[in-house]
Amino acid sequence: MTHYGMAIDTKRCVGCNACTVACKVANNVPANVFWTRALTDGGDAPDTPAGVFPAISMSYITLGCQHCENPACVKVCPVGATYQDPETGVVRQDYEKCIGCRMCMSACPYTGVRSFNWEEPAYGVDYALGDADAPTHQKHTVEKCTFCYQRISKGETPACMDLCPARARHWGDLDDPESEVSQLIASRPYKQLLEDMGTRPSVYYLV
Amino acid sequence: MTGNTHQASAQLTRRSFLKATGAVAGAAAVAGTGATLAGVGAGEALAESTAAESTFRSGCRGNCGSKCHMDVTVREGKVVKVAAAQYPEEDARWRRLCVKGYTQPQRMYDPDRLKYPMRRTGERGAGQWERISWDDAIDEIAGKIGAALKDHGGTSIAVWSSYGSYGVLNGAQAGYMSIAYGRFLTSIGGTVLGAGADYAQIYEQMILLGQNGNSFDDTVNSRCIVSWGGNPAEAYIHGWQWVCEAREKGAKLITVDPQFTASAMHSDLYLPIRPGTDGALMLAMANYYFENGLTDDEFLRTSTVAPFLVKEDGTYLRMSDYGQPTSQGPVNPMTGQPTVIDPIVVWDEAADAQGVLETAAKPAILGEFTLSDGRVCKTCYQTVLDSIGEYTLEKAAEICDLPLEDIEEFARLYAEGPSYIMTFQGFGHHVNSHHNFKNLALIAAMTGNYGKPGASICGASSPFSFAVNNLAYMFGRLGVNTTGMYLPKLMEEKKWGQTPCDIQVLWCCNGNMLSCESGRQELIEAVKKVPFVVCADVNMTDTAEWADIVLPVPHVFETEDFDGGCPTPYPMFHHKGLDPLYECKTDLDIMRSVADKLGMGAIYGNGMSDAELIDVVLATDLNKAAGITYERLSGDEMVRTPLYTGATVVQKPSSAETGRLKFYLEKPAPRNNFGQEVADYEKRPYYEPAHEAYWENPLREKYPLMGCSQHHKYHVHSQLAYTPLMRELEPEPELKINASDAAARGIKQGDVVKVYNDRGYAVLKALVTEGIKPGVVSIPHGFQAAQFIEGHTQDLTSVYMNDFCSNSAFYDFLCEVEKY
Repeated sequence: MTHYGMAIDTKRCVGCNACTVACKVANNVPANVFWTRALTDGGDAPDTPAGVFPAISMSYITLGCQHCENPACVKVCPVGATYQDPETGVVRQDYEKCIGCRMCMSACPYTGVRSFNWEEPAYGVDYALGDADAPTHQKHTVEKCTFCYQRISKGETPACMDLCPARARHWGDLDDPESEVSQLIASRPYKQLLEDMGTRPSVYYLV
Repeated sequence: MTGNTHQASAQLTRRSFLKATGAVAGAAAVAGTGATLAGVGAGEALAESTAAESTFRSGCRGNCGSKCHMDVTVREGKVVKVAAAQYPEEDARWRRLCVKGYTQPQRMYDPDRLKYPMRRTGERGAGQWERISWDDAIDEIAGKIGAALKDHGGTSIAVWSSYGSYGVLNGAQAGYMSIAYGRFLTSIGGTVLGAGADYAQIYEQMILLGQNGNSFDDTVNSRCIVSWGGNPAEAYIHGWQWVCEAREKGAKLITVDPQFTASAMHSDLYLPIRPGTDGALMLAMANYYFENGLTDDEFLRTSTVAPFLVKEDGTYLRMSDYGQPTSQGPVNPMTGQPTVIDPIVVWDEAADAQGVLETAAKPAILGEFTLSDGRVCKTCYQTVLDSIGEYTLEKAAEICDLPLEDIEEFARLYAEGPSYIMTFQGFGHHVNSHHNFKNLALIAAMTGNYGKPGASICGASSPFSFAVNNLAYMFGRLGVNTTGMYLPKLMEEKKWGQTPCDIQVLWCCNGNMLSCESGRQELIEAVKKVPFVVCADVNMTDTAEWADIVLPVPHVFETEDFDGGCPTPYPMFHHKGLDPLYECKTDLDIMRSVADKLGMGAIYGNGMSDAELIDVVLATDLNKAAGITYERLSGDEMVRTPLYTGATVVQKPSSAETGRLKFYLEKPAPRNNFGQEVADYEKRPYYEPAHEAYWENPLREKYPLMGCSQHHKYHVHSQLAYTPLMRELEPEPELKINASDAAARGIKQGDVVKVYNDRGYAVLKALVTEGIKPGVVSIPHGFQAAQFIEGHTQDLTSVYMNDFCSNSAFYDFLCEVEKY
């Protein structure tokens, strides 16, 4: 079986948001919705450090759906709209089944990785950007990162993984011990987000 | 699944995680509110993938310096996405695209795009316009130009540009070098008003000292990388991967910057220097190396100008001083003229007598010597050391407001090397900035940190050059060639040096000078004095707002052009993927129409096509031998420059005459010569306080804060100002102010503040942060006037420049901030 995952090198990441915008364009993500984005671990505003000058520190973490092996969202969905793809391990969202109850949003410990379209989604331009086969966004539906399912199902890489300027992002099959991500996880210290929640995320942050 | 080195997984607790996510609340704000909803619209999980798509190759045309090639996808006649173009496998490390490039599909359809020619109907700058036809526009423009040429001569027509495009057909390299503008201006003897921005480095380091640096991939060979006056993690992100690679091999990263950037965040040593004082630190390092025996004397002797003897007038002692006639050397490729050989005289320690550089066994680098004619000369190195004695590390610590132990550690790490200093323009924006580049060359010379793998004093902006035929742009001579920043002076004096220059028509193109040059209010006053102003641009810029006629030019995806700049091994051919939107016309097509109307159609070859003209530009011997033609470049192949060897570029000391590293200028001449005096210190490494932004300035009683700006990750100067995706990430300008300075003024996070001085002001939100040095504020660069609540970044800055290098001094201002 394939189990797709990511390894993100926080020693290289500079919070440039190239991945954020690559994702937004590829998936035509609506205005002011982000399926992934660079968050600042530092002060109380983006791109600001913690501490008191000059003893200050900051780091970035790019955050999207963690595609957990033990996803909290899947357990609470009353209609089976949120499910784990048995072939890839990707946690998917079936917009046709979604009833907009947002139980998945409450259950997911990773605040902000899902969004709910309260209104008809709005966009920066008046036509669809991105992949022709990217999901169509709908009102009253919860959405999130799909791991660019339309791409990976064709053997391509997710948009956010196509080219990280810092070469900080790696993607591949965690079940294949020879894959780049598996090798990185085996050879580098890493952290995972909120590990004590027992969600077993498929995203590893190399530290 | 679990790694055997798994550590630190608990480091990011839920609490700190939520704090981090809270920092960018908004996306998460809708979670957990509202009731369940019925009637959810049904839809398809995946849209049908039926629409036909095509791709073409283009690239970003901004002036970030990266020149990223991209594959652009078109569906149903619209650009829908871009991807970084693939290079052949051996060059894959050069593949590049950033957040700005990814937004180009939106930028093409930006809300502020100019759609058709317009004529001003209200006062200048009032924003009142009427749509006119191209015929009307060209008639009016050609009429004004024709009349001005007749009554006031060629210099009355001025083209003012910046770094908007380097395209050989439509751009403005060096202010005018393209088919469109070069041929027109050189035909009429017109006036070129070039950029003022960045010329401290361009003129002093690149042109006078001849130092262009190693290619960025050479960073991997460095043991000490210094982000000084730069921010490779954000402002030149395509160099960052090699910084990471070097660090993974044990190199140290040091950042010298009053602002805490992503580069600073990753650094082993962070030196939050007081703005405008970098030069003092460099000179103190030089003295420290000398006093502590940390100099590489053999490098100084064999690879630098250190042993040259300096005469009383500051020039080098040569054999012609002893009556020996000069001889001709090889042709200088830059001038086409033979070089003059006049051997340098040195003191040969081995013979204890004077000799010539080429044959002396051991030229002295230090000391003062009495020569055969009784003349007494010091070596160049001695001359320089004697002039900088006052700058000790202790003094630098005081001037730069840095801990002594930190600068000593920095100095030692740099000397150990090989060290790669990544300068960009961060310390190039003060009136005293150009001296920094002589000072850097001095510390590089003293420590042998130059001309070797991993050792450089700047990153090469175009290490892999591509030859073009510059004569293709020239049909005669320019009347005046100077910096647009002198527009106020020109409008006042109506002459440049001794040349009459009474500007009647100002043509603005390839730049947004009233947003991106310093001293906006003074420049606007000068523009108001010009009888007729035209602006050709893609967008309704701050500059276009002050024109009489605006002309819409196409986005890069709608234009075929070629740019020989090679930050990668591949020059940039912009394929035209779509017809120009709206009524846009290329700069060249506009100039063709104007020329036709003036009866000057011959300058563009009487109907020669763009393709034929590109071939004229490409026609160099090298390109002919390599088979590089329009036909080849415009095909599918990604064509590599024939000057690429596959290797990392390590720039050797490149003084044309001696092949040595220069830290001294024998005969310094100003960039824009209007008869001004040249101070003696222009010859040598030097420090003087900035013009306005220096700590001891009495003006600080009124305006205590030092201003600066930043090349921000979400801007390419003023391009992308209104691109929706960028404004989702950074909706509006914010003034960066240290928490202590904010508290002293009762300013809280997000408060609206006014930043002001005697020249002007801007009203914007405050970003209260610990990530900027107390006493310093940063105002974003690139937003347009309408995006500020009031005012503009450049309303606080001045047109005042050091007239040696004529460099816009964006950061050389003091200001005060108050709650609005």
